[in-house]
Amino acid sequence: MKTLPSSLAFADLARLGAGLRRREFTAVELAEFYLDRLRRYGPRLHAVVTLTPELAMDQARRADRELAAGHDRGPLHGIPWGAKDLLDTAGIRTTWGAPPFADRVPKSNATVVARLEAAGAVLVAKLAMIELAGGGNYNVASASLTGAALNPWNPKRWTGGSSSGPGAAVAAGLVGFAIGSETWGSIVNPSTWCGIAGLRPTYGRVSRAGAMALSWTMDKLGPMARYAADLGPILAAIAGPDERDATALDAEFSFTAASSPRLDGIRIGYFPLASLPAASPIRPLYPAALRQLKRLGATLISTRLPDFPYGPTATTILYAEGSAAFAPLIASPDLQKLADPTQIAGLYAGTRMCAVDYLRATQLRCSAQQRMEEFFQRHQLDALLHAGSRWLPPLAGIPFDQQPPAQPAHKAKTAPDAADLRNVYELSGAGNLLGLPAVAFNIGFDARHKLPLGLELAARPLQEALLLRIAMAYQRTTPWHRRHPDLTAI
Amino acid sequence: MKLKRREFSQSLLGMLAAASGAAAAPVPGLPPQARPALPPAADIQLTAEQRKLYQASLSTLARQLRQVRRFPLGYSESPASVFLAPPTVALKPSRRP
Repeated sequence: MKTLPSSLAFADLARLGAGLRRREFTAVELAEFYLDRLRRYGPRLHAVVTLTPELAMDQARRADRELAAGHDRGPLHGIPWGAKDLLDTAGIRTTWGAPPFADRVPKSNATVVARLEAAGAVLVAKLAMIELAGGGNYNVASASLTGAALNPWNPKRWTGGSSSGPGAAVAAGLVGFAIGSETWGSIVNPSTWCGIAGLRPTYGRVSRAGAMALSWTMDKLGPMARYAADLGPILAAIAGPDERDATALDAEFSFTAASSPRLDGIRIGYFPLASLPAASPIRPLYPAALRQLKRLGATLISTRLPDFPYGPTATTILYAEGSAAFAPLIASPDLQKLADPTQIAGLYAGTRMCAVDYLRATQLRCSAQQRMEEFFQRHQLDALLHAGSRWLPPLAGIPFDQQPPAQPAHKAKTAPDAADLRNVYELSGAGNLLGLPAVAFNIGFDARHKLPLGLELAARPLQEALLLRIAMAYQRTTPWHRRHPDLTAI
Repeated sequence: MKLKRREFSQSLLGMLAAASGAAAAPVPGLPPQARPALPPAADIQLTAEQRKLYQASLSTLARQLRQVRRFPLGYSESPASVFLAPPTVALKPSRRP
């Protein structure tokens, strides 16, 4: 078997695809290459739930046969990928990252899995996640069937969650790309902390059929990759209407990369530096990222979100829907098998939510949608930008509420001020509450800990192509995304 | 039937009482059948630690709900048109390219 260069592990889709089409390597060799890395590093990073070598070899052999016959399925043809373990795979266990579902084996594929297979991609692994995508809240990085996923940049640190396995596996070059899910931060957060690019699509852009339901009106599935340029082709393969999911929008997504990185005419709202906590490690990087976007021609407008209880409204909906989604588990003794008692308590607490409060939250959401649309119109904004990672990832072995003061990941001892809560925190709540798309990308490294930090850029519904254009322009003119973790210490 | 804000708060206090293991307190203004159908925490097997976390979760939720209840809706359309609309229903094509 041919030995492929280790640098290939961090290649982008274009490089992998070119190698396949030039017969530099076959899809079988490429799948074996990534499977080998998954076997070597996956367990050390707690990034993998299940390897799928038999399926991968079947799909890779088919990809090779088709390419040899001149049948090219496009940019994902023959590319190995990993699925967050909440996407159903026929005959392959799908655990939702939770001990009570450790032996759950679905009979059919999630729509996303089927669409990637149709695009010629090769599934090599089911990837780790926070149990039940953290629906009942969690206080430890090890709230997972597979333990705490470790950050490839520093294995003492967590990856972020709940798409923790996809974050670790993509950053460590164990897969070509991954599919994660986000209800509230679960793609953006691990993407920024692992130094990769992640796309949270518009609510409804991607079918959730066959994906674990946590919050029916907030769950989204989206791609995670090393480069922003890779996100477009992946989204194009998985987006679109689906008769198995009534909420899937009848809106195809196609993406053509711009030939120039110029952003002239694009107006980006940003929250001022003062909105970040004084101790935030991203503060030194934030102004430079803004300057770079300005240099590319974008117009930057300092702004603040309209006043609105985005976070509380999202919390109300998430708790009510999450506890309804997991009602059978909550009523079962298996609830006690969950890894984190916070999760157990939170899920049960959600069952106490009054219907009146839930309905009021859904009404408030409609009001917030109008306010947000007016906000974008009034300031003529195309996108909204904020510091995605305000803090370094927590130390993996210490509960979030007991992190050292310098790492106030959840319960900050240097508490964020009101402006921070209203803007930086609320953009994540607002974006997920309102189903807005967002892209996350690396803007540099914390000087002391050498850990990546990233931005989140959100836009109006269905504006993923614009977000990708901005992120790609940034990456074409900066070096951060081309750095990769040194795995020799892992 | 219109409940006053204070009565809403009292209903949450009932939930908190249930969390502490006490019998669920009646919710003023609501008939008995409108009380939460699920058993109170005392009826499920929560460890002492989990019970403490459960109470903390309820307290957090109570704080959030207070904001949800107080914030004016402020929508310009009739309430019926926005009732339970998920995000996709309200999606509008962007007016800017």
